[in-house]
Amino acid sequence: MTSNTVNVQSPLLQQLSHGLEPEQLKKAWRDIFEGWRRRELWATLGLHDIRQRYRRSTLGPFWITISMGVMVFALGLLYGQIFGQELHDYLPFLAAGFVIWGLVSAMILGGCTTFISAEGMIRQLNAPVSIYAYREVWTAVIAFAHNIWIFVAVAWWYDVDLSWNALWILPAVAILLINGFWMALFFGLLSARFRDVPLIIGSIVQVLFFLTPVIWRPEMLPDRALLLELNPFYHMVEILRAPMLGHTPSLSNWLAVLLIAVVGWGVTLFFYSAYRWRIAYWV
Amino acid sequence: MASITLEKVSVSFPVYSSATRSIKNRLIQSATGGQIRSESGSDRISVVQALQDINLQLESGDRIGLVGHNGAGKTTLLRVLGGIYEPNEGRVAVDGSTVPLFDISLGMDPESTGYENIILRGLYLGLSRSQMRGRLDEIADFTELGDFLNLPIRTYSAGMRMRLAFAVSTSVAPDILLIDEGIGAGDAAFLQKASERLKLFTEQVSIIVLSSHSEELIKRMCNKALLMEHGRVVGSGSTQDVLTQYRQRQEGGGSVEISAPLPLEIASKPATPSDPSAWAMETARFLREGRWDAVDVDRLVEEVVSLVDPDPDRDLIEGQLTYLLVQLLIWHWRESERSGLRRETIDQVRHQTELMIREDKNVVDAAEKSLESAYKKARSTAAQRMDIEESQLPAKCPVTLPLLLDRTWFPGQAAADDAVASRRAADA
Repeated sequence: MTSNTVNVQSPLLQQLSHGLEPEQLKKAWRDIFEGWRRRELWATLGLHDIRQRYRRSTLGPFWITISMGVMVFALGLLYGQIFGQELHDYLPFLAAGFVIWGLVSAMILGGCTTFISAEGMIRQLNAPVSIYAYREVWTAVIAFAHNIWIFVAVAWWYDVDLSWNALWILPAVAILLINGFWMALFFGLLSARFRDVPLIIGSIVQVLFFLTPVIWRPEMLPDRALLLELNPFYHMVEILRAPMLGHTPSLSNWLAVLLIAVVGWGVTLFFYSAYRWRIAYWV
Repeated sequence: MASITLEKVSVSFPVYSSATRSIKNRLIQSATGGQIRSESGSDRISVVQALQDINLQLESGDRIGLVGHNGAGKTTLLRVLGGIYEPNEGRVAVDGSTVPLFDISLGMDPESTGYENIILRGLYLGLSRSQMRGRLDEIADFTELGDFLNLPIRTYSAGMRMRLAFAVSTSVAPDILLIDEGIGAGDAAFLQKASERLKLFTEQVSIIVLSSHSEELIKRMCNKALLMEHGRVVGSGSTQDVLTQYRQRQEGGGSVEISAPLPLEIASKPATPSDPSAWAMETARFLREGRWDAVDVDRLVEEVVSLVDPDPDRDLIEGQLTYLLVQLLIWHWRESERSGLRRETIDQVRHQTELMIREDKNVVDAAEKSLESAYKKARSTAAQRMDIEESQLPAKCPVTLPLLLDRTWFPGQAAADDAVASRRAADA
């Protein structure tokens, strides 16, 4: 009864108190679980998203590969000169960094539009809303699968030594996807409510591209290690790039990414439990 | 047994302008909170109360029409029933698979072919890809789009898209169907065919909730109705009564007084014998009161016997056999219809049926038992589909179950006809 008096005063508090009921957490889990079971649907939707982007062009989605290739070679030649790097070292490094950056940034930027772009479907379809987050992650994975060939070609040309460290690639991709999924849910939720969020995230990601060692090497920044260590993107890029180039991934990178996953999922689950049911009203 | 229960359900809507959606304004508002509050009152976000204190109890067999003018809360109520909107107050309990049929062209991909879109819509409805493949042929037949189904649907006319969407949406019957407004469909001939299919489709659904402005549609499809006004249920009962009440209120003009929501008295309607749940409740009451004279003893015996001899798979296997027989009859009698796709479908259904049979001996018996009745249904469907008289097709099922499921056998091939002939000889 006490909550009733609060309800009368503020509809926002009323919404929050409804969202904080314990059964909402169970519902959020079920939403995510049921979403996974509808994978045939979101996999198809993700594929259509990619196809839609390149429809009726002759090369289709291979434009993803081509534009990445052009970028890597142009920047590789230029910055290789500027930084005075050997191309056979620098080009594989740059290609790996770009490809990983492409995956991570696509998951965040796509994540912002998770629910906004699915507006029509959310209001008409009684499916778990997590399918739209899976769909965004899946779209990013498909683009990644197209981009990775640029790295493979460069690595083959310069004869990059893969070694057993390549086994670290799979767990690294897996943990990146786990992180990408909470980002799609969290930023999707936030963007559905506050329409400025996609724009804010867009500019932050753009700045972070230059702050993250993709074009430049971490060793080039000897005295400002803090700038690196506090940048979550550095860790996310590094855990995958190291095994791709045949190095052993460092423990600190892995711990940092695991920490991001745990904290990110904690925060996301809280907000997703509390506000998942409002998404249909917001979009 | 499907059912829907709503208890004291209320839904309120925030109305966001670009001002309230922007973080900048939210931040400025919190910084200068007092000021802005004094300017625009305490509610910085306007809230619309879309549904207020709705109580509902729907059972199997209910066909509910929602009546009321625009903005009365009909669509919101449908979305609550479909689980799309979760109410901020009250309890919603929905038992049964639910399909909201609001916009039947939802989510069509213009770059995909007709066939791909059929499968895509099936995925929307919660079916798997392989389930959809089994239905592909039947749906394709109904659309009458022929080779167009191999083209991307951006090349289709609006009418053709509608046919496609309609055919898929009505191919799987859910327990609970929610319809917003009438489902329009293309040309007159198609409409005739569509209304037959719609009728068949809706007969399989246990609960239908339909929102429409068309009195004619409500009268035709519904047996009960709710009148909604300003987010409340202000009247309920038989379709005729509610429609009359609605008309009176409209004539009364804008100054209609909103009465307290009436309790929905659905059980007060005399039970129809065809409604199993109502019949069961009534019979239970008679038995408790010891009124044996009022009990339909024959039906009661039948129901009790069916408890110990449950044959749950029978309907399923019969449907499967019927579908297979239709395909084979068409295959046999229409050489022009012997497409690779149909062959694949036949193969698929045979495979599915075999899997069902392999798992359970009872299913084999059920299949044997239901073969004749399946054939009877298939015969009439196939005759209709091919536009010939039923009497042109054999009166009794000409094949045995093993032959029917033999994946190498297709009627109209020499070896196969011999097999049928030898079976006939054996029967004689």
